[in-house]
Amino acid sequence: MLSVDVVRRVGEFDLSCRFDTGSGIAVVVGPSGAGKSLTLGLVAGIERPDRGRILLDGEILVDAERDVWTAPRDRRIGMVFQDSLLLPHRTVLDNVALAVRNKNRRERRSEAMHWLEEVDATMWADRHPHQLSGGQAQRVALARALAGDPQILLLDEPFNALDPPVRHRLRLLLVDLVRRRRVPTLFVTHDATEAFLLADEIHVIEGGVVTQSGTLADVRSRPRTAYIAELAGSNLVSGMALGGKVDTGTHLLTIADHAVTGPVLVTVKASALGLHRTEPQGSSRNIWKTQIVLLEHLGERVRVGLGAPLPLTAEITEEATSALDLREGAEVWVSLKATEIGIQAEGHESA
Amino acid sequence: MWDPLWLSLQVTACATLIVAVTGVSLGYLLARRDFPGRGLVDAIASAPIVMPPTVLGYYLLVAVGRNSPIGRVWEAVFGSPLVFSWQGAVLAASVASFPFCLRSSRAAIESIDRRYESAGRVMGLKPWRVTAQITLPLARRGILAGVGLAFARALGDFGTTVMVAGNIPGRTQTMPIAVYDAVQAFDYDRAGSLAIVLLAVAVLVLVAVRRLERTVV
Repeated sequence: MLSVDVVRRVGEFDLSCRFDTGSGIAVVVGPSGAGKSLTLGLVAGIERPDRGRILLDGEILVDAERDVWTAPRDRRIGMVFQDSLLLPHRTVLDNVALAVRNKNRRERRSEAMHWLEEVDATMWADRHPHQLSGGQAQRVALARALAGDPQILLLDEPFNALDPPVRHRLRLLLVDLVRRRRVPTLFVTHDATEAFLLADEIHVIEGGVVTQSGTLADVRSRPRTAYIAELAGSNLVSGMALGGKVDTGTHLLTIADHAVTGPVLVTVKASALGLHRTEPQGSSRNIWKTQIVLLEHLGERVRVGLGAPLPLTAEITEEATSALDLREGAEVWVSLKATEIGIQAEGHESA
Repeated sequence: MWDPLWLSLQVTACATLIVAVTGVSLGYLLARRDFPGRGLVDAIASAPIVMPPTVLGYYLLVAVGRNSPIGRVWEAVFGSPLVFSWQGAVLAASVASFPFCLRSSRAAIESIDRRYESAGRVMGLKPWRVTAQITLPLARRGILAGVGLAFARALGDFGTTVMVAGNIPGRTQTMPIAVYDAVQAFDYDRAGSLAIVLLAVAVLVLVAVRRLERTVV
């Protein structure tokens, strides 16, 4: 769908970026200053590449060598920035209506109303942006981006400035919307959790270069750089928290925090999972028995895929693997300290 | 008493209109476009702020006098000279007040987050719509303040106007000049009344601008 192969120099920074995306949600993830926003700017036409080209659905947006240039307004792209950038002097409805293409005034307004419905924001139609919270404004910004009937939706860390519960609701809304409306999406973030939650495919960008592209499973199981390994080193599980326990649906985990209740995201670092051949005696509050479903050697480290009741990935040293005589299909005991479990509330507050 | 007031209002209104259009346009160009000679244009346009009004008036008089090319063309087209006419007074007031509007609107446009305009282009808006529906509305407070300043400066202009348009009662004698004229004739009552009226108009306009600034969301 989108094919990017560009070179661009900004001051001392070199971007040399190459990736192709499919029809789902492609997440571009990388540390800050890696060139993520610049890449989006190039796709949108806010920036011009020094060399290379960008194709969208087979159509050339820009080709620096052949001097082809499509102006941003001719690109049919929807974009959401980190802050909503709604025009303060227009109402919410008029802000969205401004983005509807090739229609008369009345049609634009009814189309805009339709998109406000899609993001559940019709009740703010007559308000001005300064009367909206950050989350409400980003909902409207999302409606505005979709109102132009875009061939691709570009999102530049759109939920970063929001509180975690609001952020989570907006992520769900986004995924639901773009899946239902089949809008190919390019989502930029530096947040690994967000990347793994949203991505159909992941493109990791570090220091201006794409270091790895692939499906979630690809990137997770075969990280090519230390940054990606760190990124992929966390297990992500959702569950319900109550009284110091989290019910994942298949397993009860004991956590350190007794105050959290309701839906949560649980993160467990792969290196925090201890593996044993016999039932371990120790201070770990979580101990359970499972089977090894996957063993993968990554040089010094070994990734161990664990089966039911809780499919997690552990990471141990090569030495430990041979000492424990681990192999696929073998039964192992897993230990996990309550304090090693990261908890993020998904919350019920409205966005 | 009323002649100079109506003349002043007429001249100031024309000058403010001219300055609002040209000042905001040039302010936009200087803030958002790169073109050859940009620095020079900027310097020349701002010069009236630092020039003594009579000096500015003197150069204008030279530039549009009856023997200058501009003066000749004007006279050929309109049948009467530009200097020592109310149109001359408009020219003087416009040039003297132009930089205030220019600087204020330019600063206001420069301070806008460019991503608003980028977002507009990505949304598919034509360049003129980006300018008219995004850039200018976002800069409206600074533009309004600049137009208000220009109005006050045009209303109060003495030196430049007197050089270019002279002091012809009923034709080019604006309020500030009438005040001076009355004092010269030792008619302090008239000078006092004129001064109070001029002051009242200036204050009224400033209040109106402040209110307008606040009502524009």
